[in-house]
Amino acid sequence: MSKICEENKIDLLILGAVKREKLMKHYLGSVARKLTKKVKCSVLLIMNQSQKEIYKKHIVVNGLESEKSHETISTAFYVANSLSSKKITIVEEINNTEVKVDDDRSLRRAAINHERKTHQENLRVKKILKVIPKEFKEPIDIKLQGIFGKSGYSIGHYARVVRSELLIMHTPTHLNFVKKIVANDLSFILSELPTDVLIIK
Amino acid sequence: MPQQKESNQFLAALPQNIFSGFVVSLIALPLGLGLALASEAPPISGVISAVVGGVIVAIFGGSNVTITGPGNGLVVVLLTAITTLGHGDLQLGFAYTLAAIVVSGAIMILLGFLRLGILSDFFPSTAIQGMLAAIGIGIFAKQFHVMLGNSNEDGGLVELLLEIPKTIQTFIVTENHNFFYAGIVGLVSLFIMIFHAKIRNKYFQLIPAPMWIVVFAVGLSYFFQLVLKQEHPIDKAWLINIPDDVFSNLAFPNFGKAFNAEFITAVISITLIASIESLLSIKAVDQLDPLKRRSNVNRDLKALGLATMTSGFLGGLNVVTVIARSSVNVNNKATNRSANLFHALFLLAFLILFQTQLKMIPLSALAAILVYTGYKLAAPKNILAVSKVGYEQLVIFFATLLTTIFTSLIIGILVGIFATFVVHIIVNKGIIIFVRNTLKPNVLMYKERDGSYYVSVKNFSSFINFYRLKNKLNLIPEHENVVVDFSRCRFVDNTVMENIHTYVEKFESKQGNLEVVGLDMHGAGTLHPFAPRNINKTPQKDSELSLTKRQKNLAQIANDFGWEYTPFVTGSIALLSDFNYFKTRRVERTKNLLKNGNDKLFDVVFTEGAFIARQLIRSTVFHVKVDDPIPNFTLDKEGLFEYVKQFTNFADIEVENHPDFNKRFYLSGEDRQAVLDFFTDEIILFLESNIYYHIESNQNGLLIFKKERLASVKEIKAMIDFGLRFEKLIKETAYVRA
Repeated sequence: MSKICEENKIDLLILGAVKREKLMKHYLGSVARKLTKKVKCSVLLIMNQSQKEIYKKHIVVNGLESEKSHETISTAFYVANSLSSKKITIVEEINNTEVKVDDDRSLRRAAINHERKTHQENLRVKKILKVIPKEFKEPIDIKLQGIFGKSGYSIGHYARVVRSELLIMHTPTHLNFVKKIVANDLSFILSELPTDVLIIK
Repeated sequence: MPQQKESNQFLAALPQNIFSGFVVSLIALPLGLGLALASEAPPISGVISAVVGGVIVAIFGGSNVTITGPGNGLVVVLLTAITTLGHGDLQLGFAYTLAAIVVSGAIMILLGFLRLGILSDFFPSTAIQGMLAAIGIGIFAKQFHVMLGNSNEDGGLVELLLEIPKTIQTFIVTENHNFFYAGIVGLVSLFIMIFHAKIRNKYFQLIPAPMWIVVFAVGLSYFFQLVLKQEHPIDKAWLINIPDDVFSNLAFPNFGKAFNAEFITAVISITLIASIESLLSIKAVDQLDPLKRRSNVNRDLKALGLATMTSGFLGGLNVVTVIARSSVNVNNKATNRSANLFHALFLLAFLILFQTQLKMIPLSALAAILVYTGYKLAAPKNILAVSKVGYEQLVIFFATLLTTIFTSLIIGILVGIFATFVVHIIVNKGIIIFVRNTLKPNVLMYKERDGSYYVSVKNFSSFINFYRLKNKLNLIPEHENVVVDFSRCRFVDNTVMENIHTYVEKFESKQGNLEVVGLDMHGAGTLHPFAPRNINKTPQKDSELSLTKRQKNLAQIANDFGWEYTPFVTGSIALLSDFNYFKTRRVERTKNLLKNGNDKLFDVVFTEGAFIARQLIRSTVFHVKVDDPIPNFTLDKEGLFEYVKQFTNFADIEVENHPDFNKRFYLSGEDRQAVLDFFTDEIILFLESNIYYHIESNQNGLLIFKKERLASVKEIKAMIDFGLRFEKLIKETAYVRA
């Protein structure tokens, strides 16, 4: 299948997936998972199969900083408009590892640092948003939300908590060797699908 | 300027810190001597440890009101090290043990730099209880003999326990006056320890029990010498042995066995126990601190390591943070680390000034202090407390206790951890939940728009992954509002429940608020607030059993305001289906009903969508009944629940002359004119000046709710307040209109 995708220059691959894989499959890797990792094109994993028209009110987008984030966010708006969604939440995962919290003083420092970073991230996302044409933005309620959590994974948890219907994310780019084997963001998300997921490559 | 202010404060607080240090040193002196004796080390080594610890940790430490010195948890470990490393030669054994202490100090510094203070979180609380009880039994078994004058008893723990009746018998029938008098002193000392707390006299309480024992022992000796003009009835061998010149007789470490397996085992167990004891104590003392400061655990570890190394080189025992002495310190109003420093200085002064008097203390008197502490650690009361959390906890407790007694501390705590895990697997009827989720990050935290923090935990939360939750909670300043939601969690164990509780208290003491929601669906085996919660167990209906903290708080609210509270509502409340919001949602059940006349506040669990897309949602809603009919309308934060529109033929209504209201709220209703008439200026001002709620009306009732999650008790109070004021306002305007 991945060959066909490449040969025919396919842009989007739609796959049906189960919410949670069985234990055996989890470790052997299901077909959907393998395919998702292998293919070069974007993948839409659909969990809630239905013949009726899918109506997606709330879309959660990964706004994590990377060269792809611009593309991801603009795609999200495109998708949102074609599905006539009401709300988009752009999630920034704010990494606050450089200030370690030990006591009250470092806690205060960390809190300030966190505020600053949230502000920076918001500015960055807003810059991206500025470029997006107005008619795309108009009908949609846009929300920026910073979360604390494991990058690439907690966004799935967030999507579940706020009960969004579609999660849009890009494939992680810079991964070191160890992370690739042990804790690939993508395989974390894939092992426990929170909602329908659109992965942009 | 602030610098100067700080130093002024420091000077102002100095007298009470000096006093507190003095009182603590009164306990530290007999305890230091006793703990060293119990470890078969020279008595002076315990005092060295306290002096060195007090000075170094006071300068470099990261906590505020802790006291450092020799710890009782280490007695058993050090005793084993000294006897096994020396192969019977106690002096040689002690030199080797000092080397082990120095190495363990270095490891603790390393742990501090690697920020491994979190390691203590991986020990399940019941296993730690079991380990402490084992240590207590260890101390008790050995010191009981010494207390009754028999200091020759030796052997393993079990033998020592079995020999107790024999020692009692010997004590009663003995002809040896040494035995007899030493035993009498021991028993009197034990009585002082037990009854000191019970005598409520200000002046008597001023001197702590261990010091009374010293005063008694020394006084007895002077009584014989000066009044009766007799020899001391107790021979030198039964008295404490302190070298005449303390400073020239220091013992030094011997690194001759550094790569021996026995040595390495000793180092590991010393480090393990020293770190656990210190970390647990620091955590506990932080709770006691009246100023509620947060200790820098890793910095304290480094300081303790440095102190331990120095103490080891000078012939002293380990330096750990000790809970009993620290709490005495807090009780005497110490405010900063200088109290620890003064405690050390006073100890040094005692050592120099009262050398002759110290030599008059019989060993049995010190042993009595230890028998008491040992008993406190292993008291049946503790076992009862464990069993109240759940009977399965007893399995863990005794597994740890017995393995520790029959093998060693390291194996004991490992077995404890393993047993806890096995119990969790059995309780959850499967290992899959753990295998699948242990490595996954399970905690999500974010700041909601109103500034409060929301923490959602999923899958399971136990001692294995508590550090994840803890890391997140540590990032929140304690004056904030936090909601911890366990509704996506299938299993929460008692270690987590207990630790969360300490967070609740921490937040409370700093005017913050941390609330746990989402555990109402989980069953618990016992009444205990820390009982593990499991989704597989259904809570028993209508029983006090397994009411969560939130439910108890709700009951409290009902009590305070004269409302009725029903935790488990049988059948759902019919009135919901009249509201638009619930026309497309199926109500599964309602819980936690608070009722006041016609107004009802309750948790509702409902589903949205069907089949695979079906989702379970929990929310807290407030239903206010109004007397005069009001028009149908829906009021929302602009855009929040806007999709309601598509199911109804409601239209967006703009109120004239209130652009700000129109911008912020989304108002819709069937009868446009009626709704506009209803929204008078007063009502609009009221709505604009309060926090957002989703409000829906149907002729004779209002439905108010905020978020699609359960509300915390604090939020519930705000909601009640809002609802009642709104109700009143509606009545008033209706009256005016009429």
